[in-house]
Amino acid sequence: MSGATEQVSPYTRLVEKAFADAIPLTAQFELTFRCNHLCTFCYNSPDGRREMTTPQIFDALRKIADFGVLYLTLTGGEALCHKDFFKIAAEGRRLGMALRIYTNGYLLADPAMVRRVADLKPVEVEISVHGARPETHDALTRIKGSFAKTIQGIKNLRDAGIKVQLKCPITKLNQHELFAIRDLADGFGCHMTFDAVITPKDDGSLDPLALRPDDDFLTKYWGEWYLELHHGKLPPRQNHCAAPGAEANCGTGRSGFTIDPYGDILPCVAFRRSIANILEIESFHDIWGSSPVLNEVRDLAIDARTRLNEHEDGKYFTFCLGVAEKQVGDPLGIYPQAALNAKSIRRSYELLQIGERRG
Amino acid sequence: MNAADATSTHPRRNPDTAFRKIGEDGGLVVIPGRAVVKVLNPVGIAIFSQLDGSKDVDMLAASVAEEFEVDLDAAREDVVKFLDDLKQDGMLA
Repeated sequence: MSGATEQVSPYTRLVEKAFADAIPLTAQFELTFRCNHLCTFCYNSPDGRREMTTPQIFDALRKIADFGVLYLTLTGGEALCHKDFFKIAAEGRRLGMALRIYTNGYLLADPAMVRRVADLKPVEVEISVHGARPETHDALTRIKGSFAKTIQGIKNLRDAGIKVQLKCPITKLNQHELFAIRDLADGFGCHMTFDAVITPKDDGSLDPLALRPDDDFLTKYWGEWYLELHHGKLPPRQNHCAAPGAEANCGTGRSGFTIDPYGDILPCVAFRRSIANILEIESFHDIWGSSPVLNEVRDLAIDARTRLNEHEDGKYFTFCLGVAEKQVGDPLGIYPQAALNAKSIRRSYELLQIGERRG
Repeated sequence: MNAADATSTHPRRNPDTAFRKIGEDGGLVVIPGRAVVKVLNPVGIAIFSQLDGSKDVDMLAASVAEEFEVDLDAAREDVVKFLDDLKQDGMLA
């Protein structure tokens, strides 16, 4: 935790408190698995069950709001492909939650759609960009013309004064144009996040890993390029969803939860063990403190951090229990990408001669 | 909002805000559309959660004085100042 001489902001202190007490601040709601893209590395695995109806989604939103959740993140599939997206988003806002939207941005090339998004007053819209050139982006989405539409969508949102965050899963197809992608984001005044881990599909299929960046690239990415690519920011030494210095590796089942299109409540988007179905509970209060699944997941997250701390590169790991379970069959098992990333990040810190410090 | 304004109105929080109490330590308020998060202390979150337009400053001050066991005049002064801050931050309707 924080050192005696460090100034911890009131915001950080409250977020740490929420994390420690497992007070969820965020609900990530997958409205539908339908999507207008065909990304080969997508982790979604629809299983053929009937997705929730709009009235059922409204009932779910009420339960989420009653539990005091602050941020509602609407995602998919492609959230904007849901026929009642705007009704649902407006209901989430009416219930008092701050709104985030995760989208591929394709449909936001239409200014009328952006005006409707602006009316929702979202905190931010997060858009995936897969390349700096149409050839790269479209090859990964497998939709011709998708790059042009997504870029127009970003422009429309920025023109409407909406905060836009961009993210890019790094694949072997776009690994050579990350600086150009970063420049694209800079041009729009958007923060850019790169994700160096391609995850297995939710059904356990490892097919998406065929697109993962190669090891030589990842070593250079962390060791040589990360700082410049991120305007001087250091590589992460813990999961973004974990509070600084927390005993748990990540926020799974703690800082938030995920609802899938069938209504299943999951500890997070990556660790997809069903806690309960939201349509079958009266209140989150009935399960949040007593669910055996949640208790096991929280314990696993603590065990993961304990084990990682014993590893040679342990202090440099960003580690996902969900990926580990799918990739090596053990939520505590160290999967190759995590090990390589940690080793490379450690070398980066050693080269920079940066020691231990908060964050 | 000055003291005179505060006593003559029933302040109501900006309906676009979202807030969450975090245990007994205070809470977070998000101002959508501006991507701003404001941290409130326990007294602040107690007041903010009551800003539904049904209470005037005197009622809010009485509530604070009772819950936090402080002098009524001091509570009223704090409430007025707090409402003034909220208004400047765009957190009042």
